[in-house]
Amino acid sequence: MTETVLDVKGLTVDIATPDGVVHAVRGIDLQVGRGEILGVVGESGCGKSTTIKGILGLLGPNSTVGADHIELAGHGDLLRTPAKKMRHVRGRRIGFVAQNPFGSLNPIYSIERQFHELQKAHGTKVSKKESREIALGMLAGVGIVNPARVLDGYAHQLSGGMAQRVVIALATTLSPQLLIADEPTTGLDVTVQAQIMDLISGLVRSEQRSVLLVTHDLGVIAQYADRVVVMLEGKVVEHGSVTDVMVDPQHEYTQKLISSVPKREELHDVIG
Amino acid sequence: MADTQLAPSRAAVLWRVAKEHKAATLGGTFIVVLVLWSLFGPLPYDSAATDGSASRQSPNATHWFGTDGIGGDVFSRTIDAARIDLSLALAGAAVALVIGVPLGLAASTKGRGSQRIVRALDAFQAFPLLILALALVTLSGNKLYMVVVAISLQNIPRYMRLLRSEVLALRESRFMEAATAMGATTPRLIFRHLLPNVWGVILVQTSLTIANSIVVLSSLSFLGVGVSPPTPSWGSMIREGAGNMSSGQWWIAAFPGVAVLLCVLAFNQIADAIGDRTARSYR
Amino acid sequence: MSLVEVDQASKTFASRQRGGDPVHALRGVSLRVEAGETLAVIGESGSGKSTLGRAVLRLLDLDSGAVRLDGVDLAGLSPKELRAKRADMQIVFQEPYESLNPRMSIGAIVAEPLQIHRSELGSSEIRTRVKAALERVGLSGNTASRLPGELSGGQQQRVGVARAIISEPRFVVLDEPTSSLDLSIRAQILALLAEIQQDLGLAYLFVSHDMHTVEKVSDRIAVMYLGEIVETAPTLDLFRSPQHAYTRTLLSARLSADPREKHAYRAFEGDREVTA
Repeated sequence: MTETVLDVKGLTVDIATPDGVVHAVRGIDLQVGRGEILGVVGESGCGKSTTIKGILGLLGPNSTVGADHIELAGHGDLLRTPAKKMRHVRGRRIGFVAQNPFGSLNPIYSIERQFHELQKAHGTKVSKKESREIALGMLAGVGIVNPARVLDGYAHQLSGGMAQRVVIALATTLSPQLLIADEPTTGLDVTVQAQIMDLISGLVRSEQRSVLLVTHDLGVIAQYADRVVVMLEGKVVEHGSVTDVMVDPQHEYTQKLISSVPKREELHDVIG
Repeated sequence: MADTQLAPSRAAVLWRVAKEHKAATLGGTFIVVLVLWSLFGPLPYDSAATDGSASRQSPNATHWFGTDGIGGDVFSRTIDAARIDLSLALAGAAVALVIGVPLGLAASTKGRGSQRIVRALDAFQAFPLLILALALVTLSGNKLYMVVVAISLQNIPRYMRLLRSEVLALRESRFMEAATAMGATTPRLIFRHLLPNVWGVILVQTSLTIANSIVVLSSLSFLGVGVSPPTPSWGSMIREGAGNMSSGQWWIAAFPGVAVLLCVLAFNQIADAIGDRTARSYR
Repeated sequence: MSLVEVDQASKTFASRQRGGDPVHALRGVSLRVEAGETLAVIGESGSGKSTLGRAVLRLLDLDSGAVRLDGVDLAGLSPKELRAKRADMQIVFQEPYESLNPRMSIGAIVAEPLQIHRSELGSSEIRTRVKAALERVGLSGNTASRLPGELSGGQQQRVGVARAIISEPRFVVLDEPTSSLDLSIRAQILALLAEIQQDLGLAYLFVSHDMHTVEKVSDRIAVMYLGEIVETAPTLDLFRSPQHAYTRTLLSARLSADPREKHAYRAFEGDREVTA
């Protein structure tokens, strides 16, 4: 494999609840190489979202994250990075794209202000004017036709697809080497989904960035990821290249998952 | 059914709930003990009895909370006051509930009429309600039932607002749409689908209303309206004792004041706990 | 005469934002659903597909146009007649949990249509039928005593299906019945719906945004775009030779779970996302 950007070994997350401790993630290994999209797939409750929140240090105080290491190239072990420093890792070294773009955008700030706040938060000493220039370029880069109008507007004026483009632009403004996307197209229309995924994979191919892509959608994985990790009940049950895993799944659960996607051949069989 | 045997017994459930909501349990116990004690005694002294030779005594072994200006036992009077204060507060809250909920339902349509009702409520609530209550009670010649009317008048708009906001949200809910789609009549929509889902917030509001009523009632009797001496009430006791505060005789006003505080706190805690539980049972 | 006939249905909503343009959810939509068939209505958000599903059941009133069930114009019915007619036409919602009253037991939820439409039945007969309906959708009879919050999403949707079929309707609107469910659960619910359709001879109007799902379940597909049906065709024909440019865009946006089938998304010239 090429250079590894993120190397997670033995990640566990325990969550304390009133009904006892839940072992949400039970020792998983992940590696994301440069210029690669690693897909993490599983059904709700499999621990895939908890995994990335654990990596990003975004879990609440009732959760305990453990691991041999969470090594981010050029930075060091995230597990041993103090919470204060993690704030700088997020945004500058790892961009995060969440499922609901409107949850990521501040409803009372203009889009321009959010780009500027991002610069300020990371102490880049970029002036307001420079920040606007950068933002215009970023928005144009994610396929927004009229970036100036979007910059002057607010989140609620955007459609879901546009808002997600803005979030991706924000997440990549500081050129992090790794992008973590948690169900980035869930809830978006199919045509918009295709556009957003084309955009993300374009970023990877053209700029050699890396993406950790969490989704429940096997179509997204099959069409966009390079390698895939299948999760079930907090564990990895199968991993490998997308072609291997999706075409010839070895684990029973992966087989079941793939067979539950409606396939065209079946329909042909029925009709004859 | 086999299931019922596996389910924990009612007492066990109650115990678990009580452990989870300690403050509310404590508050509830306090209220129950206070009410029972005030109703059935025994009290160390007759609350109406006076002893001129033992006036303004500070708290001691015979008079736990001390005595007031005419030698009444502050402890006995504080407990005994709960009888009239709490029953008037409860009655006021109950009347507000019984009138406010149907009115609130009626005001929960999207039409113009319902908006007008809300405007009227705004206007009504802008009026200084304590003064209205004072006027009502005084003009009626200090009738106790007027105290109840005054309390309920203050609280009916709150029920209406609450009901309206809850019901307007529920009307949009999928299960209401499902009920409409299956052909449910309006009464069925209201009684089977709406009310059971607002019952929790109504209970919360009721607990808060009682707390509020206690404050209103005490304010009224503090101002010398409503319950008048020698019948003990917390408000009038505070009024009596207030004059003695400056001369260092704090106990005459302090203990009934603490009683009001604890009752309000207790009902607020109970409201919190109910709110917590109803919110949770949705999940 | 078709079982369901929609003629030139139009509906406009006032904009949610003050001063915004009104939303033309339906612009002269016509369709037919034959007894026992599944007509899928596919479209993206804002296409008006959900509005159509509700208009067909007269859960909302049209600005113009007509909906007929068995040749009876629903707009011509009195409220009482319309309520009675609802035994014949039912709906399953996208959000399984939100569509169940959280305060009612599963048994009471499923019994409700019978209490409304078959009040002559005794309570023990109703209980028997509720149990049968629950078993029909693959739930055990003692699910009746539980509350909606105690069930999984898939189980909740089974309850939604049981409630929809217990009054023995002939027509059911399925409003994205599987889109909030996990993949494996989704397949189970689709299989259940197909089975029930076979057994009871139901007609479905299947509202969806998902081509994969629609391909599997429908006899015919109507494609909606901005309040209009741009194309209606038998399922296989639509996939083999889509006529409208928007249909081709939708088809190109499908992501196959087989990595060997590479997709190439083709934007539609009228696409709002690109021109916005």
